[in-house]
Amino acid sequence: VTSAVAVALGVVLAAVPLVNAGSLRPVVGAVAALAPAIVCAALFGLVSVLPWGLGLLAFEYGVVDLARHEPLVVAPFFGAGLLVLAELVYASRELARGAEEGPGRRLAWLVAVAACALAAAFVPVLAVGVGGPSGLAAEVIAVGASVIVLGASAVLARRVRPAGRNPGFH
Amino acid sequence: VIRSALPKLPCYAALAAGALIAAVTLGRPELVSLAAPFALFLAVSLARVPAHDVALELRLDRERAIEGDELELSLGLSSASGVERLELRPRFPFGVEPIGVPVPTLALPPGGEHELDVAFRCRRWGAYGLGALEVRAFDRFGIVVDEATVEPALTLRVYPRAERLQRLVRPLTTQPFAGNQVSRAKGDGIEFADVRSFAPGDRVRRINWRVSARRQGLHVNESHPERNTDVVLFLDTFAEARRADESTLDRAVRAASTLADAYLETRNRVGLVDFGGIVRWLRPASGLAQDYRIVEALLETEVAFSYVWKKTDVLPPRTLPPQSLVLALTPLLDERGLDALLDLRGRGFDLAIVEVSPLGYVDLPRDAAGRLALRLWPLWRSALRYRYEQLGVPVVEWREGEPIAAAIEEVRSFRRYARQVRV
Repeated sequence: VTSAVAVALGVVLAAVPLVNAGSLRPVVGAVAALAPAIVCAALFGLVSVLPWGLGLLAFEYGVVDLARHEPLVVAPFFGAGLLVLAELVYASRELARGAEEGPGRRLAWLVAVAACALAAAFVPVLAVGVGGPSGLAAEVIAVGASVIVLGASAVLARRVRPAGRNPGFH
Repeated sequence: VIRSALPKLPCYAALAAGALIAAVTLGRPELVSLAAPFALFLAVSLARVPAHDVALELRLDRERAIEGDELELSLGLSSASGVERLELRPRFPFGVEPIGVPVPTLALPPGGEHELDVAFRCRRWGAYGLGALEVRAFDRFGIVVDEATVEPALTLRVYPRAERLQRLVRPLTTQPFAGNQVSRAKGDGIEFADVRSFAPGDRVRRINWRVSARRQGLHVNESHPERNTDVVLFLDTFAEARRADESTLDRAVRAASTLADAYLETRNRVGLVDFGGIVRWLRPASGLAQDYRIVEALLETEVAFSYVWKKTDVLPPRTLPPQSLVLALTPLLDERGLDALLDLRGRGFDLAIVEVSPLGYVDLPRDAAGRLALRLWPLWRSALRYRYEQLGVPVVEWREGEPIAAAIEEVRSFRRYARQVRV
């Protein structure tokens, strides 16, 4: 089921830029044909080629987007779709390695990833749409926000394990 | 435990970075929408990489089994930290094969426990280390994996399955101790042997009154006494012919176990000589303990490659008692084994050879030279058998699929009709 959904999603993602390609349709069409084929290859075990398939889909989108005067409005959906496609392919390969207890967990996980990806993809769109503040106060807030983001990253990077635990297999 | 990144991590990182760079260089902010889901996924997943803590407990329902038995390996799993996805791949040694469905991927909640039973079949005799496992614990996001290999911690001894033998090869001479073998000599016993004239010292109860009345003189019955015998099982382990799942040695060990069982049941003394790259021996003894000793020794039997030319003089003298019956189980493949058997016959032992035929283990050659060699090989083996038979040694070909009882019966029939040669 996950493989079939992944192939269908791959075809849809390849077709979206193709519809808006205009005069670039022959070139984009070739890429659009190749990308789902690579996704299929990944589903049949060549997981290492999946980044190339996702990259081609992103490239196809970027080319069509650049060729147009106005940006494609489906960008958040396309970004979220790429992530869900990748998750579906990896899930297919994991399930192919062996049966799994509780298939409902996997489904819930994919739905959650899709929702979060969609939300994350809409953040840049909203950010672009909002007029940026200016002035000293805005710069202070921006610097403060940067420090908080960097600090949080540093804390995450230096995260230590809780004392008294000895993780591992024994 | 080895922690490594899964292919998903570099894949997502490359996509996020590529889309972000494209957005900045091309000045198209909508491309950030392509990067944002991947970047968020990586940020959250890397922040939540867990430290897996898994405890494994392995149990075996029995430590001893017989070939063909089906057993269960129980895996007790517990985790204080919890594992989102746990893959277990039990590794079974050659001779033990898993049956049923493969082990499913598990999810262990924090503090959770799980019990798994893995069924397997003992296909071949031997002493096996069980419990080897490949354990892989994945995080929730599938970007890192903790891998560990658990070494075998349990020992399983699989004994050869013994066949039923109706009759055994009778020795030419028996030993002086009481047993179940009817001796060829005359003495006190149950089996009637002959009638002879009365001699001073004969017991009155042995007088055959009917014959005495007819012959007008006292005659007594003579009988064969029941004695035991010394049997030495001689296992030639210099070489074997092997297919993927079976070899001549496997069959020889099964036959040796069957013969040891049968001879010990009839109160004989049985010894074992494992004559090959490594020479092992067990002095003849009787009883249940000796049966266990022999079977345990047989489990260690293997073909050890060696260039050393060994003769039977490396064996301690008490391993081969005088007048013992030597039953050799050999594929007749190595010159050293052939030479040792001739040497035993030369030393006057009562020798019988069961040839564990290697012919069934040879693939049909495709080239003409190979086919010619395959035709010549059985002829050469026939000549070899004839050489032993000329010395009064029965050589019986025990083919694959035949019961050992058939080969034993053939040895008996050869010994019944063949002329015994004194060498």
